[in-house]
Amino acid sequence: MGRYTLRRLLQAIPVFLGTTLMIYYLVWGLSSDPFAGKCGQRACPQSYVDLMTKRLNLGDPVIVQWLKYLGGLFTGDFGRTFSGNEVSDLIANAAPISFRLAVVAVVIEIVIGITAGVVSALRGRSFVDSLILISTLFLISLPVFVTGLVVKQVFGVELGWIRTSVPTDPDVFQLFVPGLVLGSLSMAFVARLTRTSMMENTRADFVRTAVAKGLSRRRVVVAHILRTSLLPVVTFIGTDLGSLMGGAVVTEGVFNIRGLGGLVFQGIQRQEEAQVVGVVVLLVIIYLLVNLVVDLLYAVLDPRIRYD
Amino acid sequence: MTETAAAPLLEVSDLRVEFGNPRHGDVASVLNGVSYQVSAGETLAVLGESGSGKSVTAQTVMGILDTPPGRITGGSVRFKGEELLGADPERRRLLRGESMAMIFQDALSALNPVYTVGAQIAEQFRFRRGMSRKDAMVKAAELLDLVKIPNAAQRVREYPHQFSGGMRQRAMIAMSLALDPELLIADEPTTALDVTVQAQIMELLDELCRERTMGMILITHDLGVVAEVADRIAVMYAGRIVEEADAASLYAHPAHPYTRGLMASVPRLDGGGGQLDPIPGLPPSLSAIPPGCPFHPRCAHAEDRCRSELPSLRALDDPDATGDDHRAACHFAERFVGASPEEVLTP
Amino acid sequence: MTDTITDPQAEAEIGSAAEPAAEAGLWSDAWKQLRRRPLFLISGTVIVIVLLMALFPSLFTHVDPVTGNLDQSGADPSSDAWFGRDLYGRDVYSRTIHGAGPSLAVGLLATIGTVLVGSLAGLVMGYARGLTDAVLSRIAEIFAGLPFVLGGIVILTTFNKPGEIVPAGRLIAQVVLTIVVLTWPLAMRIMRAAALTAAQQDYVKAARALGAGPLRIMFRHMLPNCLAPVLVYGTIQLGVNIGAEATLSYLGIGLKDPVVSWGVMIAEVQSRIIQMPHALFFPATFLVVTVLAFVMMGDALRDAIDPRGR
Ligand SMILES: Nc1ncnc2c1ncn2[C@@H]1O[C@H](COP(=O)(O)OP(=O)(O)OP(=O)(O)O)[C@@H](O)[C@H]1O
Ligand SMILES: [Mg+2]
Repeated sequence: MGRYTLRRLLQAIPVFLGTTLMIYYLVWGLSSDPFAGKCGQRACPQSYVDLMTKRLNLGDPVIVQWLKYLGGLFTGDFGRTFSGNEVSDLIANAAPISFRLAVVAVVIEIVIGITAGVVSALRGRSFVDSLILISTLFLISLPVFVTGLVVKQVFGVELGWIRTSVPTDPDVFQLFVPGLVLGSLSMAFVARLTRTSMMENTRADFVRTAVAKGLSRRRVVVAHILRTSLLPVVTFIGTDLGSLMGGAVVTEGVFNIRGLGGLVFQGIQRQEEAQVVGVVVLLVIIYLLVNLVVDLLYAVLDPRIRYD
Repeated sequence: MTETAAAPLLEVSDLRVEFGNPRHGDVASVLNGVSYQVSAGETLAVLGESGSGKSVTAQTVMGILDTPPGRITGGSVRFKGEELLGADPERRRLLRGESMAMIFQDALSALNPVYTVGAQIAEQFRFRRGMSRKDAMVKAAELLDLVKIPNAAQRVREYPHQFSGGMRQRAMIAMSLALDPELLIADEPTTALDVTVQAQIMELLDELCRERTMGMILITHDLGVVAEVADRIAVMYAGRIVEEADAASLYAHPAHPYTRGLMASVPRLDGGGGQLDPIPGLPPSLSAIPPGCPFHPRCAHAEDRCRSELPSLRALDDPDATGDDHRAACHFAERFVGASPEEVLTP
Repeated sequence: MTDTITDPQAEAEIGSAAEPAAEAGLWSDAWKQLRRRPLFLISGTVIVIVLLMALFPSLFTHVDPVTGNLDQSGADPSSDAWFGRDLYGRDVYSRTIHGAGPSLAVGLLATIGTVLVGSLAGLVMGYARGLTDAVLSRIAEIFAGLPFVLGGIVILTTFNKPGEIVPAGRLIAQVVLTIVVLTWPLAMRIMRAAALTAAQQDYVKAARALGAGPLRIMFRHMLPNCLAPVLVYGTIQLGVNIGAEATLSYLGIGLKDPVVSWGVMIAEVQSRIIQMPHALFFPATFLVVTVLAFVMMGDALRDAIDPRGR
């Protein structure tokens, strides 16, 4: 187990370095003049340019800038925007909202997705099964922005059931509808994954053993079929939590939620490179960490991996 | 439960099972009237080529046949006189484990990989006996000890993949004994194991049956194993019992050409017997069983009667057999029953 | 130990590699299966119609999709304009028909790129294993770690500053490449899994033993047995990529006017949905139905090729 953990940790390092370097290079390295358009119509005053060049290490080659940036990251310094805000402050305000939204989406995925998958697997070749399968295909085909716009229009504007935008610091309940929209795609994947996995395990030898032991159907389904079938589902959901935090740009846009996605978008419109890099790097770190945790969790859930 | 004094422990008669969908016309008649009996404390060995329906019979008895694709089309299965086919599913469930238990061939896939061996044994104590998790684990360890797994107290907390093949099969056996069944069905319990381990497992099973006067149905390909532990032997071919006798008389006077073929196709333990003769040809397709005796296309002694008339399983006059115990389904069984198994009969 | 965590989504959606022995029979069996499936027939019909729209828009409409009459801005559907008019008074029906071309073109090009890059990488990894596999795996993770929309924003805005006017051809190329860069790891994983299985087959081992060159082994022996899962993936991904184009356009970083695509149309109307819901409804419906057709087609293909799910 210890060796396994270490291995996964070591594998994450080159990925972290590669991703951050790529982003840093895209955002800083490819712009010829970082000060273009920063000070309205006029060119920026030389003193300002000098100050910023020094603060952002713009005089160095990109690779050195990147290394210095990484150094800062280790002390929790995500850099500072041209307008003087600490990027870490911006993140501290926005991240909890994105996190809440992602959690709402994941909970919806788990509750609805797994239930639908289980029902459809247990019913096998019935109307309910076909209905669930087709609904999942439909959800997979709906781009999130279409779902978002339609839900907002129909339930918000025409029926008036929900508010079309969310307050500045929304609680979990106010995030329910956006969470549903955000989680809809993964919900469909979870349902299908649960179904496939359960159908395979239903025919497994160990399920036959469990039946031969005289256990009740309920016990066989829950403890033997479902418990074993959830392994891949857990992995998927875990990984999804990582990508939902950053994947919510569209949903956040549709419902005016001030999360991390909005921060990136705003950063690009205002040409605040530090803001963009900061948030994206944070999301990559979260993604890698979540993946690591999921891998370890998988090892805990599946004893066959643990002792290799 | 009404227990008639004469009723054997298990009585299967004229059992018929089909697979496939009749509407698509692809029906395979897998069991075509299987009958056998097992008494308390008796070991019945079931022999037969792959695909002859040994496992399907066992699954039907246990009530774990997959329906669909399988379909029971006739016959009866009585346990201590109680008819099981068509019985309430909950009643059947309560009989499983408690009255009859089953051991499978491939213990690795038959054990759930995500639970410890102990937890899987303890499950029956918890959910059938209402024991606490802790007490159940203690019982599980006792059972592992009973099947001679060294260091059982620690081993209960290990997972199936940490066990060796032989230990896994021992764990399966422990699991099947948990609720003290009266009938144990062992479906090729040693096929996946190497020879030395096979012998140990068979010895263990034999010992346990004797101690507990438990009836056992032992499904196997291994005639050597059969000779050592079986009280009676039933030979299956294409979903029927073609010969049944106490072990000694079946070995001494095999009365069905198929049985004789089976014996000729394995080396004898005592080194006796002539050359090895595998039975020519293949078993019939179960969706197109030939008319008459299903064995006739492969039988060197087949005559016209065999091609048209299905022989029934009838008692033979075998001087060595106890009672009228020797039965065979061959029109000419009398011709063979007198001859020793090594004798090469010319048609 | 090898990486135990494969992509569950990919696995569930695509299924495992097909059995190589029955390759020819596999395809003809699959076809027999498919012909009887209503979902396959429906999605096939939709795809044919959308293809016709893309290739020959004049079969469906003669109205110019780009010139509009501002007097009729936001007009409701009528006999004059079946789907109504958009903000600039342009005919929504005509624009929806003409939107099929660019939407499909971007989706198709992006899918071809993804499948080519991903399959090539996956095949090489499955063949070479060891260090090559480890290095390419890490590189793929770098791209897989970027959420699609975020990655798209960073890449596209780096090359086109906000407000910059970019020629249509260049923009289409950029959108296609962006989608390819961000989605190839998934295609790679599917191909790699199939290739690893194929490399274990006896005839591949035999070819190796007989001294066949790596290219020959990969393309003659391994590739044919890895095609089925990648084909299924490609069909589904084609639908998903059409949706991806629309998403990027919606965010204002993909295609832009004067190019007409469904995503562009939805992006233009998003702030005025309340006044002219028809201008959202029609392109969105066409978009969703088209994506659904490809996803359903892929799903039916998988069921036909890999019977496990049935
Ligand atoms: N689930 C099933 N679906 C379809 N056919 C089945 C199924 N289970 C068994 N059969 C068929 O029933 C026949 C008998 O199978 P069974 O498993 O009883 O054979 P067996 O005598 O146990 O053989 P072996 O010695 O190989 O275990 C075979 O022809 C098999 O194809
Ligand atoms: Mg069997």
